Amino acid sequence: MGHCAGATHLCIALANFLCSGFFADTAYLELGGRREISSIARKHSDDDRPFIHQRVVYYPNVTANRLAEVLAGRYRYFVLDFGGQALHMQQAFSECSIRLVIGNICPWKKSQFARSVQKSFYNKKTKEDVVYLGNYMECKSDQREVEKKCGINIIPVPYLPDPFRIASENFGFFEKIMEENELSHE
Amino acid sequence: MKTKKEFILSGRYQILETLGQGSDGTVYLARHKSLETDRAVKIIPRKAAPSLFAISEANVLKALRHPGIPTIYDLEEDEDNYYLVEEYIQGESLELFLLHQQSISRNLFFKLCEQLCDIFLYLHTLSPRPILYLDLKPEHIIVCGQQIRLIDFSVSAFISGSGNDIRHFGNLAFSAPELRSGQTPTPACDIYSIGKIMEFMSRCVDSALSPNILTIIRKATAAEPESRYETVGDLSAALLQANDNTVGMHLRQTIAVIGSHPGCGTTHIAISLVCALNAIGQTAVYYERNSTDTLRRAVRMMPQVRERDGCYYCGCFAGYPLYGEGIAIPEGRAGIAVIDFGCRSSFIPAAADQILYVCGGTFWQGHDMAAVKELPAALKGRMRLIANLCDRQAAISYARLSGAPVYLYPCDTNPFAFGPEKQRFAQWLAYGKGDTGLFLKLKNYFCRLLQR
Repeated sequence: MGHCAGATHLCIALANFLCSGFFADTAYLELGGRREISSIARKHSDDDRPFIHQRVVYYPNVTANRLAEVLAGRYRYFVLDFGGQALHMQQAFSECSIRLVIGNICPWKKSQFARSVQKSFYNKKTKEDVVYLGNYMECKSDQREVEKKCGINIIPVPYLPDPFRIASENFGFFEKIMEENELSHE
Repeated sequence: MKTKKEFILSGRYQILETLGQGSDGTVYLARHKSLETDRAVKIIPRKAAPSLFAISEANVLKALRHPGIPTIYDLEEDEDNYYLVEEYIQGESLELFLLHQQSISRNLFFKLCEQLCDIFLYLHTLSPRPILYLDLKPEHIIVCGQQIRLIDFSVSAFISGSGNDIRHFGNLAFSAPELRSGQTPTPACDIYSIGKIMEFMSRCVDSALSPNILTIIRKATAAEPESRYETVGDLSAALLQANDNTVGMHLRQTIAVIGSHPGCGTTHIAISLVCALNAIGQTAVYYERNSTDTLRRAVRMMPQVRERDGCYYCGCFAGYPLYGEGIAIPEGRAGIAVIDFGCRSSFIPAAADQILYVCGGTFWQGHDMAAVKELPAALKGRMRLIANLCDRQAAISYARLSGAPVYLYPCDTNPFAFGPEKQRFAQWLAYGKGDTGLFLKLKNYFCRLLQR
């Protein structure tokens, strides 16, 4: 929710956690036309061909037309990075097994995050089915303020310096966001 | 004629017994009658060696004050002999010390190297006249507890401004090659000998030395003097740095567990070992490094297993299953890392302190014998065989074929359980001693076989 909230960083981290943690075939899908992840494979940003990095298959710049085709692939997990574009792909977002909304709740961004949550479509319709994640949190009081204002629960995102190498100390965070939606990964 | 034992030197010393025989004289243990203290008296016959030797050694020693160098008290002479009275050092030569110890720890290795360098640094930087020792060999290093003392300065001499007025004799095995060709000795000669002594000691270290140490030894013992360390100080600094880099590793030992074939019990023994080590007060963690996924399958069937931060805990067990490259697990924890490599008999874990090679099975699985026989030589120095699922006779055969110590593992159904036999096994691995029951008996048998 909002620019530079850390959605792509978290999605890549989640994909690597699932793939390397459980040896599950995992695909990462970049939605919203941003064309940012091609640099991972040192590819030109116009190159939309999928590539593999650390056994995760990355699909750059997946459009709404191609989405169904990619989702038909034989993967155990699909991590869809909507970026800030979930509003334009509401149906695809609603059909996901786990719906994560990440926002920047640092002191000068938390108000904007709170307003966005209050106005969002998923807040009105599927509030209880969305897991809210708070990034760049400075103190618990900021978290509680937003929670109270929006009537939601926020899970703080831990410091993940390298999304391609998840420290095992952060397993608890990923397991928690998976459990929130009762998704079994066994 | 008085016997040596009755001989009283200058009315002050009584010769008690012979300590050793050198090329230039014999060393006796003597007692100062008045002070009631022991001395070492070196008796050098006038006819056996020129006067230069006795006087040279005395002149060298009397100028020295270092805990690693014996004090000289007197130089006497009569018509037959020279008598050099020195501090009596109680201990055993490095050669005998290593023979009796069979193995030394990395810490002791570094300590001995550091002390040796300290002695030579002192000698080479003496002012106004530095000294070259030139006859370093294991017999001239006496180990007193954990302190070394350097003896026999008969070949050493001062470095003079006009060159070194030395007639070098030294020894072939540990002396620098340029000395054999008659070149003028330099401090590089002593550095070469120090490197050879380090190399000599490194063969007895009970765990693998880091490649840095081997590089240091190679440089110190380079054939060309200019390729060696310029000073003993440089050598000492390199050793110190290498030791600092491995201090953390010393705190953490690595035991690699490798199996000879699937089903021989590699994972079972690795898990058992971790449980046993933790039970006796060590800190051990299991790391799965094979693709069998055995640990995950096992814990799925055990509701009492807890998982936290990617690590499974059950009683005394703590361990990580295999993860992909996208997961970083902490490997810097102090203690013992038990790494389960599964069945990869040709794999050599270079950094492991100990290697446990699991073999065994029913008697018709004869391929195990062939596998043991063909083990890479690089493994054998750090390896212990674990004979599992077989009888004593098979274990003896493994010992004979491999030349390595063998432990006959007891019948065990639950790797997460702990008992007296596993305690003995863990204590033997952790401390290298203790009542190991069947292991001792097998080891004795193995030793008898070798002596035939």
